[in-house]
Amino acid sequence: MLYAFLCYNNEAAVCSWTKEEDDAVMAKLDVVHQKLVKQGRFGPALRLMPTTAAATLIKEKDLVLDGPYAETKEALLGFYIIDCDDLDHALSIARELADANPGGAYEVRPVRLFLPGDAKVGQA
Amino acid sequence: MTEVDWIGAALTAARPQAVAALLRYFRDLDTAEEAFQEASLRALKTWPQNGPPRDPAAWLIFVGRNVAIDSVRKRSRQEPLPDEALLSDLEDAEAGMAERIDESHYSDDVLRLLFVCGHPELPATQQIALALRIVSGLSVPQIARAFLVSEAAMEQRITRAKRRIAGANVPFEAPGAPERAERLAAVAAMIYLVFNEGYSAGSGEVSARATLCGEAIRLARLLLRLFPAEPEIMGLLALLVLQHARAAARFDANGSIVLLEDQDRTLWDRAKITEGLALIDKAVRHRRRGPYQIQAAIAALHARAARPQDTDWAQIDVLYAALEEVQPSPVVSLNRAVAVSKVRGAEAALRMIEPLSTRLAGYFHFHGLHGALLQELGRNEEARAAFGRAIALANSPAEAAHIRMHLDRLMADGAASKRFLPACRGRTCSRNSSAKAELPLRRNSGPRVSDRYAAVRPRIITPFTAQEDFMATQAKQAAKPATNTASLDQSCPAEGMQTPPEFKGPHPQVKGGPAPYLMVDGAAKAAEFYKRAFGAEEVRRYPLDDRGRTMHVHLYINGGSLMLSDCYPEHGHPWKEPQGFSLHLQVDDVDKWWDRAIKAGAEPRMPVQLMFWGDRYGQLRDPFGIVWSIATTPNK
Repeated sequence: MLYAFLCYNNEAAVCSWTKEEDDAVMAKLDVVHQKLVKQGRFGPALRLMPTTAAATLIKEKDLVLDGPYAETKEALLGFYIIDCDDLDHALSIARELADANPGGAYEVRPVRLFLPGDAKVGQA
Repeated sequence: MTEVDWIGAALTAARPQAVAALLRYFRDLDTAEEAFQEASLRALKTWPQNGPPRDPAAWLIFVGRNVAIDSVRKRSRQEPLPDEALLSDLEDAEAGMAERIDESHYSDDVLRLLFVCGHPELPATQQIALALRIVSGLSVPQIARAFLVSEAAMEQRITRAKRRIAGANVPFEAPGAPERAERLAAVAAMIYLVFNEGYSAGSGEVSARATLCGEAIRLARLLLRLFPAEPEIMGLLALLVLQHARAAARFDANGSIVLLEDQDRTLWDRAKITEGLALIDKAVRHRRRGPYQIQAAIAALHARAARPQDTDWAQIDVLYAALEEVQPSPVVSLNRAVAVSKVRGAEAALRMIEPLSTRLAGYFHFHGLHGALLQELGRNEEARAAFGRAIALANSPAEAAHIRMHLDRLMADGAASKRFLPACRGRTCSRNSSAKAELPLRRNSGPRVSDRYAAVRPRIITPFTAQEDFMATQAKQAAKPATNTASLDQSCPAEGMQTPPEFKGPHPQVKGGPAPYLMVDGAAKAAEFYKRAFGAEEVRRYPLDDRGRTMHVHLYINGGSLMLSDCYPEHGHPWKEPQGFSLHLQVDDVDKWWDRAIKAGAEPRMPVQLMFWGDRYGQLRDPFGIVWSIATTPNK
């Protein structure tokens, strides 16, 4: 069974880390990552850009808001990783998806770090 | 290995919000700071035991406020408040506070705090010192190190700034839209000053000053989080991260400046570059161009070039042209001259910069460029003199060393060397060409950034040469208040805006007695309204700036002149509620005038009625807050 791990934390605090502190955390995480990579369990992992780089498409209203999706009534149900040319391109894809599946919103946020991983889908 | 100090990071991150809320509560910087300090001490004691609170800022505000009130009560021998150590996460307390410290309150609080620090009345050095002390929470010794002054001097500078602020009487009520915009602009300028203070440091001071760049980015990010839909704030953050992305490549092992063209681009921070590009993408969608966005777009074009020769100079030029429009300044023109040197040669560039010599007489880069151009033309004697002036004006030892290098070369070969100009194609770029990875940048599909910013009208292509530090210093100049006041003939209409009637020809006659001159929020809109409401005729309008503002509109209404201007908070003319006067129209048919005005959207204040003095008279208020009275004297 594949599990997604969604990472939440105090963004302002994480953004306040010095480069050394950030590197230290990433190095410690990497120890865990490498262990999982060896076991063939590590799927794609992402580090997202700060929420200030995000834009949100409210599907039903076809409204683009600056910033992250801030409502708490809806739950995160899944996500896509799509290679887009720019924000306009990303939003046009989001609109296409929204036509196929209305309701809710898509937050579009650039990815800062992408580790492809090699776990096979449906393996377990 | 560095351990993350999570309490320290949480305190740093919460500091702006917490100090800002405490400032609103106590209306005194020192009290707010002390309260925060005390709350932080208690956090260090209780957080490791009880775990981190869910909302550190709310915790610190609550505790800080209680501490300060408590100390007042203790002095007056009253009951102390409950110990916050007993409250694990202040859940209940938070709920009670939620309405008072909601997001919008946070935003205005933080903006006010930043505005207090970046108050236009403070000299730049005091603004930076105050912001670093109060908002970022750097210690006085830390700030003193960054500025290379003694701690005592820095302490004094901060005290002086605080005293000045206390006298400036920054209002504490929630700001209206015009004040908010004014504050945002001042705060953005202050953040840029902080960044540049760090950016213009020499390599020796890099570590002490790198902090300043980091702090500026943190503040810009905070500001954007609070005002997520402001394209200029997106532009500001984009500009800062794009500039900072080059930090590791800007100095060589000896501490000399490395020009943009010679930098090892593999050292550029790609995560920052990608973030900057993403922010520009967001900003562009708003189609409200501004100086920070344009400068960020220029920085982005440099960042997108994997090798110097891949730089899209033509686009950069178009962007500089746009910048010249929205922020005319001799320094921007100097940049264009560098560009001209690249395309049309040193001769043409020299012709361009010579008229700037008086206004830029005290500017390092002017003399540096002047010298380089002269040198290229073989006018070595004059070049030497110009380089000498540049050295005298250098802002850092690295800048001086850089010019001295040219001088040495001049002495050594006496020949026309193009070393100062990055246009030196002869130089090998082996480091750069060995760069293995392409930067993860936007593909060239779709319109380019500059296409979306630049004015549509065609311009002469004069590619800009990338001179490291040019942009930053130029922005530093621009950030100083009132250095770039656009003269009337320089201001240009923003793209897509109509500017009827053309601003030329003889001055229209001023009709009537004292002609009212109104400062309104939206002079162009007001003019349109008065045309509909009072049949106004527009006889003169100065072109709109990029924010759609104009300095002057001249209307004829009912045979007399009425003049309008927008508010320019950055020049000391913020919008103020009109009061204590009304404009009177004595007309033939009050009812006809009244109906037309009401239909146009004016709001009745006093219906038309027969008054004791014999006139039929009514009052209305227009959408710009101006009260008008209209009257007709009946014929018997």
